[in-house]
Parts: sequence; C-alpha cells; structure tokens
Amino acid sequence: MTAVEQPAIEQPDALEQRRRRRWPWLLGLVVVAIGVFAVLSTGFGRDPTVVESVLLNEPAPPLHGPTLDGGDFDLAEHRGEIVVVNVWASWCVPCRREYPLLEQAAVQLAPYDVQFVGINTQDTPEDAQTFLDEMGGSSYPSVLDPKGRWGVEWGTFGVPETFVVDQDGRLREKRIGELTPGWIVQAVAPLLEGQ
Amino acid sequence: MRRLLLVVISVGLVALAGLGLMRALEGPRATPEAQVATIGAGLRCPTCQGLSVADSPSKVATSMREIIAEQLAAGRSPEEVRDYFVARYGDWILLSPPTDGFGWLVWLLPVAGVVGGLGAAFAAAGRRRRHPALSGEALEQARAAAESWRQGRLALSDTPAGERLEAAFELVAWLREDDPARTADEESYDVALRALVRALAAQRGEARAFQAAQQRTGVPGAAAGGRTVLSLPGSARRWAWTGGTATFALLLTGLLIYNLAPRGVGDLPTGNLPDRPVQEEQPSEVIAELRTAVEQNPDDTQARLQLAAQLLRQPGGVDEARGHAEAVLERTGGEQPDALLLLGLTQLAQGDPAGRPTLERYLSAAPDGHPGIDVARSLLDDEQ
Repeated sequence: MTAVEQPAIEQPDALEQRRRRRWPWLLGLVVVAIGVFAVLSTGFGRDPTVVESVLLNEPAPPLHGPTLDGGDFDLAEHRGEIVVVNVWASWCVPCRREYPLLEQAAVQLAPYDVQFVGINTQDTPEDAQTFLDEMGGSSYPSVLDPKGRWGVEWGTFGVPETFVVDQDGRLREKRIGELTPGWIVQAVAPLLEGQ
Repeated sequence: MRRLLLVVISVGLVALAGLGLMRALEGPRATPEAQVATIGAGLRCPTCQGLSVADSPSKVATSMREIIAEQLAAGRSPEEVRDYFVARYGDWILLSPPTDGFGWLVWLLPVAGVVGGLGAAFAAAGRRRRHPALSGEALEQARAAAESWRQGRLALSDTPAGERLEAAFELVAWLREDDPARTADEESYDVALRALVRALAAQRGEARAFQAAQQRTGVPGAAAGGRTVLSLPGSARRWAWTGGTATFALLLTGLLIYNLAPRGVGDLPTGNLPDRPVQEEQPSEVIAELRTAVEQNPDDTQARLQLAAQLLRQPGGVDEARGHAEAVLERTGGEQPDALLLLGLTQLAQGDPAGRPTLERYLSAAPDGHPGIDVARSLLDDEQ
C-alpha cells in the first residue's frame, strides 16, 4: 500500500496536530454562523428607521418663547399639569390629518388639567396661521420655532412628533408620526390616575 | 529584486495608513467654521438619509450647525457639543460609533482583522521558508524511493496521495533520463526531489489517517488499499458539513417564518409590526362589506352593530344606523348594551327625546368597564 517502509504508527502526533490545526477554523465558522443568526433574528423584528428616544423618563427639555397667537409660553410654568407637546408645521401633511384629533383631545381633556402646546417648527407664522384658520382655529398655543431650534432641543427627527410630559416635568411618552385616536388617551390616562 | 519591491510597497502602504490615521486623529482646525464643519461631519442629520449635519442643506441641519457654532463660541469643547446632541438623540446621532461599551467592538474588529491577517500571512511565509530545509536523510530516502519506482519495485495506492506520488516519481525519472540538457539541470532536479519528499510525506499522512480510520471504525486491516475505507473520514466530514449547513438553513427558515407569520399580506417583510392597521380600509368599503353581511344573514347581530357604529360616523348615516340598532334589540330581547348605546346615540343625533331614557337603559344594562359608559354619562350630563 505505501511506497516506502515507514513507521507510520510511531508518529501519531502529526495527525493529531493537523486535527488540532483544523478546530480553530471550525470554531470560527460556528461563531460566524451564530453571529449571522443573531443579527438576523434581532434585525427582522426591528425597524431600522425607528430610534428609541433617549429623553424618555428624563426631565423634559425646556420650551419657552413667543407663541403664534401673540402670547408667551413657558413649559416650566406648567409643572403640576400634564402637558402634551405636538411638533408640527403647516407644510406637513400628516400634521393636517392629525390636527382634528389634537384639537378634540385638547378640549375634552382641558377639565383634567391637561395642557396642550404646539411647536410650530420650520414654518412661517403666516403659513401656520393660515393652517389653523383652515382647521377652524386652535384652542391651545403654539410656540414659534421658525429655525427648528426647539425641534432639535426636543430631539425630533421630523414632523409630526408628539410628547407627553407628566406633572413632575418628566417626558413620559413620545410618538413619531401621525397620531391615532387612541394614542393620546393611552398616553395621558395612566398619568391621570395618580390624581 | 521582486522581494525588495514588495518590501518597499508594504512599507509605503503602512506609512500612508499611519499618515491617514494621524490626520484623522488630529483635532479640529483652528477656525470656527472649520471646527463647526468637523463636528458637524460627525453628526447625523436627523431628517436626512445618510447625510451628515455638515453636508445637509436642510433646515434642521442648518440650525444644528448654528447650535454648534454658538456652543463653541460659548467656550464649550467639541466633546461637550457632541454630548449635547447625544443627550437628545442618543448615540444614533453620531456617525462614528462611540469608543466605549459595545462601540469598542466596531473599532477593534478591523484592527484585530489586520493584525490577525498579518500574523497568518507571516506564519504561512515562515512555514514555506522552513520547508526547503529538508534533511539530507529525507532527500536520500526520496532518491532511493525514486530508484525503486523506476525499477518497478513499488506499487502505489490508488488514492490522491498515491497519484501525487506517482506524478512526482515520473517527474524525477524524466529529469534523470538520458538527455544531457535535462540531467545537467540540477536546479530542476532539486525542485522535483523536494516535491517528491513532500509527496512521500503526504502519502505517509494518508496512511496514518487510514490506520486511524481503521482503528475508529474497527474495519480490519484486510481492507488495505480499499477506496471505500479510505473515503470514510471524507464522507464523515461531508456529512458534518451537510448537516451543519442544513441545520443553519433550517434555523434561518424557522426564523423567517416566525417573523413573517404575524404579518398580513402587503405588510413590509421587515421592521416593527405596526401597532395599528397600516392601511385602514375606506369606511365606505367597510360599510359595503357589512351591508352585504347583514343582507346575507339578517340575524348577524355583530355585523349589524358594527355597521351601525360605522354608519353613525358617516354623514347622513344616522337613520340607517338606528334601524340596525333597533333590529338588534328586537332580536336580543331589548337589553343588548351595544345596541342600546348605539340606539341612544342615534336618537340623540336625531334630536329624539327618547335618547335620554335609552342611554339610561344602556347605563343600567352595561357591564362594568364597557367602553361607552363615559361617553353616555357625559352626554347625559350635558343634556341636563
């Protein structure tokens, strides 16, 4: 069978060595496979466009300044109330769709010490006023934010976004995108129970 | 000569890489604009797709650049400015991963890859360089074996190693044939002899593997040279590969099914499951469907209730809604809370004074926690 007389059995180390040389590769392969599996299993269930807000359950960022109706708003003066902050702009289509919900909720929740306030971001006061007029007026103020500075302060990615600040001034809920009828109630109701 | 060129190129590449790294690590330049641009280049524009704050013309990016400039002017360090944005947007806002926690992995892996790759390359080069240092004994053995083969005193096994060995023998023999030019070519003969030494070593390795396989499988030595026995370790390996690949594929398929099963037709295959129906059906479509259901089965009280609830929201749907609510009450004995609530609401909408007593009947019939209780109470309060 073999070409030359070789004491083959006397050197089992070589085979052993080769086997030992192979296992790091196998181990690496298994690790890579597990990694791919882990990435895929978490990645499938995750929307890469959704970013968790780091502001949640932290003290809410400040918000103060002149409002669209010519007044002045300061979030700090509303400690003890629930404040719903809605970031909007007249050029934003989902804002237009969700606006009636906000208006309705603002009226209905007013007796429960729930303050609504808008941040009219990256907009002109004229356009914003036209928007509100088309919507039939507004029952709550909107802080002017023509350059989007408050938007950055509140860590917004776009419009609309809606935040709920609790009685202690902590940010408790955040919604990116258009509101649904149930969201405000679901976000605000747990905070009302403490009262 | 070629080796020298290789060394020069390698050194040049390493030097370039080092230079680039140094430039990258260099702090921001002195002018405020450049500083803003440097910080902005490391921040993600929140409203854009794949653009940095420095590159984006959007309003948000513009005001973020303003914020950076203001904070720098106020004496904050670039690190503090970055932290300001991280505090609002999280690490997401940073275009390069943070240098702590899990982020380290992203920085370290490429370095580890380069170091590991270089190590492997050097190890391989070292092994190759060590190879020529064959002992004179091995060369002598190879020469003797070649002579034996030439005289036809050797039978070679019909295996890969055996075939390789045969080729090596043939080459050596050919170089020693009676051709003065070939016999004079000592260098080629040397190379061929070394190849033969390696082929012999491979043959020995195969023989050992064969013996080990025999020991493992308990196949008696009588099967010597049999191809079936020799192929055993190979087939085991093939089985391991096939099994491993199949398991992995099975796991992935299961994962896909697990993730895709809850999604409806038309939903995106990736991403969070929507917490609300993504595409709400047009109310008119819903109403048409429910109407068909009620026509097909007038006793379907659930369909009637849903239809009434939908109609109530439509302009001009109140009358029809009332008809369905009454129909349900007739069929259920008059105390179905949902039907009572809907009837009361339609009556109020029509200005019918019967609305109040209907809502009161609803309140007494409704179980605790019925979703309409608050609405009914507030309506009754308003009416007073």
